[in-house]
Amino acid sequence: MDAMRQKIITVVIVVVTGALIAIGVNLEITYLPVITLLTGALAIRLLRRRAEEVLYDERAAAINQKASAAAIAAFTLGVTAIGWLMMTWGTTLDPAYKGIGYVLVYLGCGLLMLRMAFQYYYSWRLGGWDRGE
Amino acid sequence: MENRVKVYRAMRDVTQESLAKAVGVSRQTVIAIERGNYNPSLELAFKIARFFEAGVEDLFIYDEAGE
Repeated sequence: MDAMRQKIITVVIVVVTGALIAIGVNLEITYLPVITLLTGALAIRLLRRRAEEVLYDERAAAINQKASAAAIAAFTLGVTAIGWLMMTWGTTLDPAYKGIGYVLVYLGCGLLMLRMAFQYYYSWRLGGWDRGE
Repeated sequence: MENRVKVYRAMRDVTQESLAKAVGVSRQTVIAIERGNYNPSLELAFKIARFFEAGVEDLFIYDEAGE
């Protein structure tokens, strides 16, 4: 299977998975998004294995790392800013907004803590602790 | 970092695709390296150098001023 065909099939799988998840959420079928997500991930994994060309290499890994870091930074900043705005001025619109604001800000904090935990883990895995040897 | 991968590839009459296959990366990675948009890892630099039977420093030139 060539790279172009694989890319097209991957896009189709992602679109179908996204659509089925949205349908599952809208129709409140709780198991559908979970099954769809797992099936989609499995299909993409199998597709990668069948590829004749190398599609995932160190450059792709570097791109993934940068994209993930940027996405985390943007999401954390966005969630915290929106949460703070809702906590501060949301009550003038609806009292429930204050609660949602707290949830969003805690979500931002949780994400940062999770990131820090993984940072420590990978720092240990890829280098070990500095014992002053 | 500058590199002479394209020069060596032309000298040996090797396509980007066959180089990519030989060193286990995608063709896009070879293109990015040749254009100077991506600096390969030490391991990949050695693989490319061995493929061309050359030294790493023949292919990759570290330019301190350019960093």
